[in-house]
Amino acid sequence: MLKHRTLSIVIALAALLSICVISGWADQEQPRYGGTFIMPETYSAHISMDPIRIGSERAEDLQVIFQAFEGLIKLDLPTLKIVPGVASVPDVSGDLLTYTFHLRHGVKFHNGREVIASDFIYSFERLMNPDEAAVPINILENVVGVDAYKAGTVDHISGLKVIDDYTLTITLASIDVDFLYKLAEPGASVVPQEAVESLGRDFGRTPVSCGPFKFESWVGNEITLVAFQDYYGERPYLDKVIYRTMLEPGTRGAAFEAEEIDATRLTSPQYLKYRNDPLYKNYLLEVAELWTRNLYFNTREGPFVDKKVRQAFNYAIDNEMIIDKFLLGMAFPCIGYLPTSLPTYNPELIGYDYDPELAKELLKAAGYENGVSVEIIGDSTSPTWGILYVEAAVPYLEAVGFKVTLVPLESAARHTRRNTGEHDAGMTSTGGAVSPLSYMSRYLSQRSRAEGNFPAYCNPRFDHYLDLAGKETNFEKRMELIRKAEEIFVDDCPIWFANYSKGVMVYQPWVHGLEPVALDLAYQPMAAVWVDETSPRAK
Amino acid sequence: MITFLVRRLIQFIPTLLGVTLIIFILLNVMPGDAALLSGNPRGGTDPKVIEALREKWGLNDPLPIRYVRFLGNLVKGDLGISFRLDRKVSEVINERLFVTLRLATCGMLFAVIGGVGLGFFSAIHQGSAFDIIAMIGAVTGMSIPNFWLGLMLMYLVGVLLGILPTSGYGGGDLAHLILPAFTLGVRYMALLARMSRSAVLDVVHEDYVNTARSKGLAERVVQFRHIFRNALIPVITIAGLQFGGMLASTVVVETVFSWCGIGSLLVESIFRRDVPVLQGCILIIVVAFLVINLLVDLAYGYLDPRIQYD
Repeated sequence: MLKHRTLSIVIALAALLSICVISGWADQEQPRYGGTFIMPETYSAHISMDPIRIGSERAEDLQVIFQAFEGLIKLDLPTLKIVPGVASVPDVSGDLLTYTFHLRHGVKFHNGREVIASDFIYSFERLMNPDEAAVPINILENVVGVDAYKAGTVDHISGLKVIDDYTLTITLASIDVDFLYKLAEPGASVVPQEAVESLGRDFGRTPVSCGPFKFESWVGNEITLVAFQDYYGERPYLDKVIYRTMLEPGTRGAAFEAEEIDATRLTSPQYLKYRNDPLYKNYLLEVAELWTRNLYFNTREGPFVDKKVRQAFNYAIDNEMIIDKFLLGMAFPCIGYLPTSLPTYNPELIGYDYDPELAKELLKAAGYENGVSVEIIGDSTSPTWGILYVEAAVPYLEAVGFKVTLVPLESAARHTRRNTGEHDAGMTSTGGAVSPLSYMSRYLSQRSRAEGNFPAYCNPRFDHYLDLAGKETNFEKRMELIRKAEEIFVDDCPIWFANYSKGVMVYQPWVHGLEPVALDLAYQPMAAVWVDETSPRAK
Repeated sequence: MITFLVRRLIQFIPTLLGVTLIIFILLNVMPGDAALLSGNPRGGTDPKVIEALREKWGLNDPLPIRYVRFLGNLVKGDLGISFRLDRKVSEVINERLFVTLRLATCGMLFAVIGGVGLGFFSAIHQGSAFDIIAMIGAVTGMSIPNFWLGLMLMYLVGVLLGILPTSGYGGGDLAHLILPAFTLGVRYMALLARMSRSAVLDVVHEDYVNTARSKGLAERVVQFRHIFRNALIPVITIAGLQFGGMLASTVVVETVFSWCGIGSLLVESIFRRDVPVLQGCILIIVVAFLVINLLVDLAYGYLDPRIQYD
């Protein structure tokens, strides 16, 4: 009897314990409001929170801007699809030139005033005002009347019209299938005129818009955002997000282990460490980011004018070995130029497998039987897309007959030298665009080196397919045309296809809702992120 | 004294003029285009954007005109507008200067107190185990790269022991200051320990020290009043010079500990070719050097009344 009673008590306790544990788990799976999230900023120090001052490559600033600013439409960061913002997805006229946007009612700026259509006109004209010398002007350059406005002959852009407080139209000068992608960029965010004018230069330090988080402070290297209670969508789970500039990987590693930060991007050695860590291997976020690491060849002068030499370079290197041994697996091998996260990714594309014998034959056919000397410039620090990556490839290159001189340069000097074309090749990383057309278009022959066509590539057939893609409104057909252009590009190989960026982030066990954002892992949609009660910053 | 002070202050003017000219020429002839870097440097920047920025910043004007404009603004106390941050350079430097001064002052206090103390006691107990260990420590301290030391301290004290925060400015609280100041100060402490040891050894056998002892003064009085005070003059010279150097060398410590001071501002500005900020920062560092050297000269007279200024 006593035994039965003891057994019953044990079973009852076990059941109670199970319920407690399960309910505890359930609590941890249930999003909760509150808490602070500290995100280290890993690239460089912040410069401004004013989106018109920021280029699309400044992830350090854009990761904050994405949380605080919104425009007519926006990018759903996890899926990279266009979704409604302050306005619904627009009605487009039959000639595909006029876009009509219907604004939500009751959307508020962080200063409490309602957002209306004229705020967008002000924001757009501010972006295109030559006195502002704004950076992302490409967003609206195709709008009717922009040239006259920039020339100062008219006071307003004629292609932007307010119909009423909640309706506006934008008229383009010509069809632009990427226009909505451009309009979803942070540079097209809405800002209140009164705040811009009263703050002047300080607007970039204390910005006002209408995103899910509002700006609280920027002290030293720390920017603090707080949940915007009047946001038109769902209130963010977190009360506060702090972006802290921490450029040294060792510092971020120590802060992460001391639980002072909630997540951090990893370098290759850190990736190796955490993927073998019994706890943290379950808290890794990996994604093929929209960056293609490549070495552009000077196709206008020097040995790389000859396609056979460029192909020999591509065949000479065992890229997978370098990624595995040198980058410790922190990159994806390249086949073509367009990375796996884009809808144009073509797994059937024929790239350049490691084939040193074929490389030697190609060099011989090009007249370089006794070898060829080449000078390569590159970033002096980055292992994934800098001179260090090329250094790992040098033994392969020398084995087939390339005599390589490496010239490491810091970024400013490298960008300047790159635009002169006075070198044989240069290592870089290009991409950063959501639209495959935009991703590929930098290599159009009319683009200069300064505009991104670093190899000074020119092939009318490639241009033709991209021109067709630029006019094709059917999505699938457009993707097919871009794939054809990519095939030509891969065959011509004006670049060495090195690797696709693999972004890796490790996060604390109490963090939920982080997403593998391919545009850049740093661009987390923080409104959907939450921390459970085990976070030291849960309150 | 007043004449000396005025003469030295007047000497500042040609020195500063020379420095501004050298800074201006060097910064403007180095390769790299701030306008290009402010767009999307990895391509995709509309050339019209780059041109608009160059025009806005006056980079299309000839160098002599830009230099005269810079000097004219400088006289009015205007250091210009940062290319990178689109803010007044004086505001940017103001925000950062206090952070660096705080770090450098605490680092120097630690270096002076620790270094002079170690050096003095090592010399007094020359040849003892303390002396040997202290001097081995000093050589080690001078040899350890401070970025490595910083990271090791961060892991040991911040992660393993968990008694101090690993990094960050933390709103200026003391806990966030200890590791960076120690890391910055170690090398200077080691240098000062060796300097002060040899300075004390130079003084310890002087006649006036023997006289003091033969007068029957207590050993402690002899050590502090006659040896220590006279040994301080070369040590102060070195400490003064090192403080100026320390201001410039906070770069590494600020980066490792994620501090936002003049050092990190300099590095960020170099990479972005933010010439106005670079000019401002270097000018501030030069002025700090000049002022500290002046203070050191004035301190000589206080420590050794035989030194006359006129």
